[in-house]
Amino acid sequence: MPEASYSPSSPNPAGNMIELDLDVQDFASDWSNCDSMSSYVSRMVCHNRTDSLLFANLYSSALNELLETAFRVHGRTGQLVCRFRRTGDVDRIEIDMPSDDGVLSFYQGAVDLARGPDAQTVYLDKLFSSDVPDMALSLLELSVDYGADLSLTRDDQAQRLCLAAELVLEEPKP
Amino acid sequence: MISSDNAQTFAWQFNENDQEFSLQGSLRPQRVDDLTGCMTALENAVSTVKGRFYLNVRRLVRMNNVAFQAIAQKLADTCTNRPDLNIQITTSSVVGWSTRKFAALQATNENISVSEYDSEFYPGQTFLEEGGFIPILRTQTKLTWHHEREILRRHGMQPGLQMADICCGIGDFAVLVQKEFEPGRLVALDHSKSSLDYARKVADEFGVRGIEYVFGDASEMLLESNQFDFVTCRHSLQVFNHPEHILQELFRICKPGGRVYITNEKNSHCLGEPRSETIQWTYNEVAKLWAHFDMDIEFGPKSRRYLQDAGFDDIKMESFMVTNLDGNPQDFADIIQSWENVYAGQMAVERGDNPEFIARFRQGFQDHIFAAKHPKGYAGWPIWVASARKPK
Ligand SMILES: C[S@@+](CC[C@H](N)C(=O)[O-])C[C@H]1O[C@@H](n2cnc3c(N)ncnc32)[C@H](O)[C@@H]1O
Repeated sequence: MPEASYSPSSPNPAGNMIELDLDVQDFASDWSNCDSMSSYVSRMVCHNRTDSLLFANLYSSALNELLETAFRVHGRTGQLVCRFRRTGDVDRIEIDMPSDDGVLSFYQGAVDLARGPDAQTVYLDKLFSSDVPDMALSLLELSVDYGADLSLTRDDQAQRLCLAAELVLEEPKP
Repeated sequence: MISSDNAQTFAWQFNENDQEFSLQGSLRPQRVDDLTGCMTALENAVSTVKGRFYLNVRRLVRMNNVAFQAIAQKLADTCTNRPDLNIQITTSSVVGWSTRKFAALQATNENISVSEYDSEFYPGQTFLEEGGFIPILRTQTKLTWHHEREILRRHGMQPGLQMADICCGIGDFAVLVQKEFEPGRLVALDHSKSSLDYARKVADEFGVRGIEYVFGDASEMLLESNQFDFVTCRHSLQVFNHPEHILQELFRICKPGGRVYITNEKNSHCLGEPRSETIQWTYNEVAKLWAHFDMDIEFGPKSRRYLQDAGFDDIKMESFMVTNLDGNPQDFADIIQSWENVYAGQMAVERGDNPEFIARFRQGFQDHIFAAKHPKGYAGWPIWVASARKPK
């Protein structure tokens, strides 16, 4: 389990709750890291939500898809930094990773598809058509099923990119 | 089908009689190959069934897209190869993501339908949830708290414990516990969304923080195993037709060395003076009426046996009587009146009882109220408390 810094009282300006920082090669050496990290973080961030269990389950599912995608597609060396923020009802997950041209074009393509008008159709298409699991499927699902707002920022000089997903996982209070 | 171990362990199972294949736990494989065993079992299952095939994912808590895609494709292939089959997928509202996710299959295959399992959890659900019971639960808890506040200590409740109240109803017991004992964590679970909404509102209004009110099914909880020091379940085992299933779940989430605390009634022992005989008659009939709907309002004294059979040790048991002398007799009378409304006004009618019976049935409740408010009267409602330890 990677080390974590956790600030329980979240209302700081950036809404920063947790940050995980680990070597990308360590991360990608063991598939179960995705599950452990998403379970751990979801448990930490769910406590003050309306329904903590339901929230944790949804958060863990969404985060796990992001991490599994990063597990498969990332630059070779450097740090993987995951930031977990919250402003009001919006949870923001940032996956900041080393990248190269191939990595960047995968994420750019996937995010464009997910933000595009045909995301739903493309999602169903990929779900049933390809034999090998399609690596863009997770991001498409986040957008189609979870209503996630996905975005990408890049730092070409440092050869890094940051994939961000903004999610509202709970219905507004009655 | 309760996992004895951890709610998260992945498992599958085929029930040939019901033509039902169930998946449960957490399913996040790296490669499709990791699923071979399960996929083969699914394929074999499909090959033996005729007509309707059930896929039960109610207890599938987590699933990644590798697994989903594999299952989706297997089901799509099945639809192509076996056009005679109708595939019925059952999801759970508790899990959160599964209905939406599986609905994609329904949208693309006309032989697949997806339904969310959410109703008919226990026989008397409609009576208790819609029967105007909410205000009465509050009065009941007010009167029982008078006793339980002390009783709880004798059964091991103390500050700082990790605690869960299962079938919490409108959650006022949780609020009282939070104020009195300040547990380290307090999860309150129920399967009534309206009760939970009410509970959150009350906690909010009274500025009580820290209670996690969660939606869930007590017979299949998403809570992890071995995490609570003190698990309470009050007045609820008596409403289930299979209380042993709930007890198994209470056992599972309790830490080894922790305790499960249950309270239940034996309504035929309700009593009053004067007019004891008509009162007695009515409460004997209450017991029969509940039994008709597969619920056991006589559960109280059976607690010891149930706890033993569920694997607990160090059983402690006692009973107490809520009476008209506990506070304002009107509170006691209000409870009895609400019982009359639900039992005579709804359940007896539903059972098809004739007007003469119902009139006599009602009279006993009125006599109980009479006894409660009588200046020299005495009226009681007995409750059994039992707690036991999960062996280390
Ligand atoms: C008689 S009430 C008791 C409520 C509370 N413990 C009290 O003492 O006031 C029974 C409760 O069990 C809840 N319940 C019924 N079936 C359930 C299930 N499958 N899972 C969780 N809660 C359930 C009902 O919604 C109801 O709130």
